[in-house]
Amino acid sequence: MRDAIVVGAGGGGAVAAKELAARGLDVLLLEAGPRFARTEVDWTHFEIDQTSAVSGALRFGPADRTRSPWARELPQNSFLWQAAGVGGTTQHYYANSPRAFPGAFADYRGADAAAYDRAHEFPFAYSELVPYYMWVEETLPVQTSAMGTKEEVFLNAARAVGLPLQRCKTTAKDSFRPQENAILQPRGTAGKTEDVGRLRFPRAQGCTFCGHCIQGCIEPLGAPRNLKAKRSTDNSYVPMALTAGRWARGGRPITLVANAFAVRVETERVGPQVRARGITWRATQTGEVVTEDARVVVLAGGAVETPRLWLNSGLPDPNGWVGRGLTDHYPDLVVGLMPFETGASKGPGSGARADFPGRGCLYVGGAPPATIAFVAALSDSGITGFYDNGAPVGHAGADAVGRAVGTALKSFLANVDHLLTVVVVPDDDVERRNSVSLSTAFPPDEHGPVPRVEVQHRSRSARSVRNRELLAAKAVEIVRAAGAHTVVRLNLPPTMFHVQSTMRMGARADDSVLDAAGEARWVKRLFVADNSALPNAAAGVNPTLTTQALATRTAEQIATRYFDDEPWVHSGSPVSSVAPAVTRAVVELGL
Amino acid sequence: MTLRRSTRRTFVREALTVVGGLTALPELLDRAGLTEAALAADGDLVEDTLSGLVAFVVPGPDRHSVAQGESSPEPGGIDAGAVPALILGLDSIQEFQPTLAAGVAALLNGVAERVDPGSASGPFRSAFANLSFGKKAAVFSVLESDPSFAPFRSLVGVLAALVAFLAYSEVGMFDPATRTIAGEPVGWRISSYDGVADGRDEFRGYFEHRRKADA
Repeated sequence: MRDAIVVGAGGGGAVAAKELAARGLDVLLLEAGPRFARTEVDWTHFEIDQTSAVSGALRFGPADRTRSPWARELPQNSFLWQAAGVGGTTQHYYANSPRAFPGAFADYRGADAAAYDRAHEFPFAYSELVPYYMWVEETLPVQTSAMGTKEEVFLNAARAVGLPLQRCKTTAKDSFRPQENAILQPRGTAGKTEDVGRLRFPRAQGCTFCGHCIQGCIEPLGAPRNLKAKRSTDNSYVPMALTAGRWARGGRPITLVANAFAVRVETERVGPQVRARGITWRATQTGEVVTEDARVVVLAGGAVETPRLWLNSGLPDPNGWVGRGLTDHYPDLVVGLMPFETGASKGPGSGARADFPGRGCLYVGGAPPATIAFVAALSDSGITGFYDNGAPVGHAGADAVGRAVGTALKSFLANVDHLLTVVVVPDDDVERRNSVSLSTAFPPDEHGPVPRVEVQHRSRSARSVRNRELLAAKAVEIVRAAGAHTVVRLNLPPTMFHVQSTMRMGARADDSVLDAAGEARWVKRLFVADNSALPNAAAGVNPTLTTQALATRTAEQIATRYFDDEPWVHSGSPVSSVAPAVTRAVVELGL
Repeated sequence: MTLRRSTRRTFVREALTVVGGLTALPELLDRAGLTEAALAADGDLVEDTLSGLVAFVVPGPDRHSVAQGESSPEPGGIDAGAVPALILGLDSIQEFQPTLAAGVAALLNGVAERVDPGSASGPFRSAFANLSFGKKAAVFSVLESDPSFAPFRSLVGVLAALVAFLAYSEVGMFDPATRTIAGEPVGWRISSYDGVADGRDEFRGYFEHRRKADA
């Protein structure tokens, strides 16, 4: 019997697995997708090869890319951006790592307290999570981003509209700043050349400004896996977990099984309690079905797959909140067409942001042309110049709203490096009707009934709508201040690259699934450590760091509650994922 | 997936599930009388229809773009190789009929004839391909707003985006066997993209020389 089985090696599961392994527990980490062990060989920089939702390496589907992606039902105009594989969605994330605003937590007494989703706050104070933030920030590590051209343009424009510069980690007021990113910043020749002959490690270290964050990070070439620039968990926490015996006193390396799709949480009744006792998974390459027992089970398959697994396992849901309360940051996009070079396809994916506590955030975004074309052709406002689809939003000061097609799209994308793209991320309310459930319209796949992800996009709460309109207008203002000659608002449909709170932690038993320790209220020894555990939309900022801090805290709760361990975060110092001991172990083991 | 045991009718439903979240359509195809049209759509009709779609989203100098009245001297999605890639991507598994691409073609052509009954005849076999650019937009307007097409919303919402992605990707030049490209992709040329690289000379320093946030 294992001490713990963690389901999902993404942004949260890998963190829980590493922390438990460092404490000497016997941990099995399951991942539904593949492990790309040799990314310089397994991956390319081509968008069709990496980011295609149908056949790309980072799609949500089995390792064999000639097979179909895994199914899900989306009953509305929307797009769900998931990634299978070790690292999960951190494989393609921008690695933006801000802390959530303090107002999203219990006991907040700020003058703007009413601006937040008070009904669904964190069940503890911000100060409680700060030590875990610091632990993760040092482990990844998180560093202040250097600028490419688009960052320089955005930051100067943010200042020009009157925002002050934020200098610290905790956001207290409207402000702008360089991103705090989980990216090793450039050293040596990195960021200073396109000559591949000068870009190999160790001559180049950290981010090479290649512009391919969204396609998975393989830079610098020749670097040990744990020294790749982007700190996606396949480059950071998973190498640490696999080598825990080498850098942690008393640590024990995890067992990682990729291509293993969890299909059922096994439980047993002990007296009045239902307890988790193991996991059954299906090997996606052979079809073999395997069950292993464990003292504790941690679900971390993401905000869609975790409630799906719960529901497919027939676990209790007495208050009806399993899968409910989905937040997706109600995102939008504002794009400026600039009369000068912005380097939108180069540099960090996003190295600059503006924050608006109680409202959400804005950040500059970059990507190669196909990804930008894909997003630019998504809208809930029809086709610019032809129809608006009855969308109840205005221009927010932009020159046009909606998707461009035809020669308008070609003009829009005539020079990808003349765009200034600002991602609008409102703090959206937890609303019960936005949900993950089991599809009845689609047939089950080989892993059981498939998830149905429903977002009632046009009937969001008044606060969510207000936040989005305010932020869209701010984005337009910044882009104009930057010098845009034309500004377009996409009015995106639900474009779900941040999905949270579908298994939410909460103070009250009547509207949450998890208690304040991250343990399921109705199934003991069952914890959740992914974005679904967040009590709310993480205040409308990029959620990964908060999920990772929470996963660290949850691991500590598991160790102290069930394995007679002592808390370690307040009294200890973390080992960085780029520490020499980790590098030595990674190199020696050929990871 | 269990496609080998599928009936023809359930295939469309299953195939739609796999393309990044497209919605089910068999009931609607039935109601609109389009299931049989999808079954009857041969490869040429499917290609013709989806060429009309690709030209609509990213026009070029090709005959579908010219016929719709909105073309461009610069190459477009058809030149980029988006049509065969779209068909392949939609179909996933080729041996079952009607394929997903055929379902999409039946949908576009069926609504095209509603928008303009005269579109059944023209230079192309596809009614959708025979429409002007503005009437193609009207087809999308119907699909996005007519309540009877509500089950298509996920499909329609992402269809133009899929086409745009393909047109601006490397698809026409990409060899999946070697995972290399044979030349400059059209999408790079029409977006003035410098192409992929392992690094860029793009470092602009740190804002106000700040290397670290205060605690």
